[in-house]
Amino acid sequence: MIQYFKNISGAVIFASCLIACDDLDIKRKDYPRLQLNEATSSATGVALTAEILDLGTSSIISFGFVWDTNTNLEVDSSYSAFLETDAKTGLYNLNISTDITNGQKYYVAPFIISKDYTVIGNILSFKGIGINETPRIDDFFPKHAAVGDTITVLGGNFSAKRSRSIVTLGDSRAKTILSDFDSLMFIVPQITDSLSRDELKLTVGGKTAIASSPFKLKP
Amino acid sequence: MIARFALVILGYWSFSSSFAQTGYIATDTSYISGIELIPGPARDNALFIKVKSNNGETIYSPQEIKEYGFENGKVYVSQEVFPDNPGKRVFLEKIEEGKITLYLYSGKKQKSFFLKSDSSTLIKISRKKSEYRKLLLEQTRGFAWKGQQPQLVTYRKQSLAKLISQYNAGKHRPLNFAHLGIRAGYVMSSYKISPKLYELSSPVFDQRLRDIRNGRSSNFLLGAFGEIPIGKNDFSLLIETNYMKGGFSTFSRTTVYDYFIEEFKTFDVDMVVKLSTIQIPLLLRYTLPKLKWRPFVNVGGNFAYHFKNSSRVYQSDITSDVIMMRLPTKENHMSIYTFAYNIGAGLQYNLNYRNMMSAELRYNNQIPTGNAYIVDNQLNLLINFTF
Repeated sequence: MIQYFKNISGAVIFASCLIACDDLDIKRKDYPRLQLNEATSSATGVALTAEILDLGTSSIISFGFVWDTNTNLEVDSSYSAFLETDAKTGLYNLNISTDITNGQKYYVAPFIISKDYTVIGNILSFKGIGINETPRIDDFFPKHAAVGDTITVLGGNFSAKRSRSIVTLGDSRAKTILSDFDSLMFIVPQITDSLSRDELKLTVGGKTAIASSPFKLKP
Repeated sequence: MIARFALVILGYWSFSSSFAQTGYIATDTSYISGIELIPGPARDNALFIKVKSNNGETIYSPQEIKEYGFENGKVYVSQEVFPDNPGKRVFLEKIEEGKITLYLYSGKKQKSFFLKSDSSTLIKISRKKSEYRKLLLEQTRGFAWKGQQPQLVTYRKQSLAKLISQYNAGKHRPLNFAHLGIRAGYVMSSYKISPKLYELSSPVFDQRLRDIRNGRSSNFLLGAFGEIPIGKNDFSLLIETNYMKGGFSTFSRTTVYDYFIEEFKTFDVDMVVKLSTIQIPLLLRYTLPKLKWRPFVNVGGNFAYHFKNSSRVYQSDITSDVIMMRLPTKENHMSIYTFAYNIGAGLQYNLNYRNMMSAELRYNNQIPTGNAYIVDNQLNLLINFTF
């Protein structure tokens, strides 16, 4: 009988220990939760670490980091980088190694876009240590398009802010609709300069790259 | 303050000790009652008794009188207790009287117990545990102890007196003894958050914590305790220590009008409080004197120390489909120390003469103090094992 009760006591104590070790957390919402843990600037770039705390109940579409020189961060118009892995709870990282102005104060936050919400995490700041490599155009396609068509450019050292990746065809500036570190998309504009209509140029932070292949405008 | 209080108590005790009490003295041939006896310390009472007289005080030795007693029932009898010094007598305090009479001799260095049955001479009870328990079993043979009480008796006045009184009365009652135990418990906590919490700080805090309401949680508890019998009755003192890891999480969604931007703002606020707590309850317990199943009630106080007391407030600002999350803030809104009163009741099962198992339901009500904006009330279900 004593042994029986001793066994019960032992089991209760063991279970208590196990259950008591569980951590409390906040109640699950329909939107995901995330937080930025670190934003460290160095000569090689800016290291960002964020954590997805909870995925919420709304399905996740994309996630990444958004940053800019003011706190009004918007995924569409600010610098933004999308990560290409599946979103899951835990840490995720990014190293920004292009288009950082020396001495400029930046504000950065992680983000998640779900089916119903865009969630911006807490904002931290970092001071830029000038990283401004010349952009590189590896390829673009299609090489033959009409006004209003969308062109995709592949390469490197692009700006993560679409308004900072300036594409020109001849003397005409194109509208950049998406820009990432190594790819961008723009819409073919009306080209007025007939002498240089073949030349596709990309300028980021004052440094310019010219595509090696010519661009042909469809009539 | 404490020293002054102690002096008052000591003074009162000294005064009352030296104050005469009505009593009697008896010799082989006479019995004088209604006289005033002046009791002294226990050691003096074993050697002489002072009697108030017209001329002052008369001192009687055990050689002169055979017995004296007080109105309160305390009786001393003259006996020879030193085999190597025949003729030397001392006064023994009669603790229990019946088929077996129990006496106490308060000697210079230590106390000794004696017992005498109708058919025997005065027997000194050895201080050795095995010997005095054997002696008590021998002297009480013929009485079937149902709770093996002689195995639990200690060489203390109250313990021996209770055992002998049971034998004399022919009653089977549990013999309370000092023991230790361990416990595991399930704790249902209700955290009552004072409306004053959001009035504490800046207007921003006001708005943020405005709709935070009460939290609930369930946790497990581990503990140990000691139980010490009080007197000859069935009361005991419980000194406990319990460890509990817990806390709570509570959520509110608030919409307020922001006068600066002249818009309504909605925000979600989560408060997560994590606690690791040591409780030190001190309780008075009464246990019904039954042999197997023993209901009990207890009441007392509980001091709790939250040695880990971290509280975080998470805020998300919601505007249509965009949610901006803020960095969680660390805020301690619970007192590190809390006091509570406890009331509880339960049922104890005696597994054998020494080991017990009990289940108890206990309510722990925290006493709000000046800076306690979150008050924790608990209902505990405890399983105790005593060894």
